Amino acid sequence: MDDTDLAGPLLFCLLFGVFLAFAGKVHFGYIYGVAVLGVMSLFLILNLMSEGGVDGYRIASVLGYCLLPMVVLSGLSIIFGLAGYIGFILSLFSILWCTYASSGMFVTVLGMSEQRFLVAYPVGLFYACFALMTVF
Amino acid sequence: MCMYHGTVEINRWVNIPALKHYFKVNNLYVVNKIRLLLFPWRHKPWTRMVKRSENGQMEGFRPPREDINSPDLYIPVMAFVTYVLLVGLVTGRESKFHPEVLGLTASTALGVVTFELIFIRLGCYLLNITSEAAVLDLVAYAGYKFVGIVVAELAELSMAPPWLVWGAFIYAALSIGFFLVSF
Repeated sequence: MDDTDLAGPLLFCLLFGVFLAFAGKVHFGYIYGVAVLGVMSLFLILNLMSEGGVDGYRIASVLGYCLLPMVVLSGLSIIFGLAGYIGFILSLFSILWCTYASSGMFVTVLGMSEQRFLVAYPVGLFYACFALMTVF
Repeated sequence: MCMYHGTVEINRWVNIPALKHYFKVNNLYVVNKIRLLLFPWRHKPWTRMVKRSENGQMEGFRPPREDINSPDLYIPVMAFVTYVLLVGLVTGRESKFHPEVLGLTASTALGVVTFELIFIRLGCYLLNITSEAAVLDLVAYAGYKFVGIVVAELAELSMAPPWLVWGAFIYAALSIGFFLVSF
């Protein structure tokens, strides 16, 4: 966790965009915009909420690596459409999985006590934007 | 944030330690505070706890972690963001969504909060009421009403019959009003 690299996250974002493009939605600009906006706002919130500070690069790294379930969801959306109940359940499950993983990492890295749900809420909103892009 | 060389020194414009005080929250505080915002009728002691130094001098208020009555900025900020996203969702359902809607809603809501702050300060000045409330406290209380707005929006989204939606809206308005009057 001391090793922040952005290669993995960039690869995941690219893969996400490519899968969406295969499904007929060309949203590369939106992905970039949401990612940058999300990282900036999480940088602000996490620095204000934690005792020690945190790097923007580390936030981007954690968020990017935990995007993997979302990439799987977008891969699934090529095979069958995600509108309807099954798609809703699947995207909810992916959002929860992404949020669970990244909030766990943030809480351990920053040493925040009893703030897991508070970290999970903005992170969940961030991943919900990606899920919205995949489904609609 | 001034540990990184080559970054902008923002301590000059924004008082970071004071701002951090409003974000010292934990899970239990947020849950209880939201319950208080939506059901304030039975809450008894409304006074804020005071942090004292060694010789009994008042040094400031306790952070939100230790005092349910202390205002925080986490809930207002999250409620504001949720409100903007929910408005986006509602317009998306009616197929009228455009990314501009999000920016428009956000800036309109921010304008309302700013106007309310100016109005309160102006009213205190004109009526000669001495107010020792910090600006960030006023921002926090102005932001708490977004929680009620989010509840009313969720009621509208869930396709309940119109009288239920209006009932939820009026209830949320009443409870936030009661909460604000009580502080």
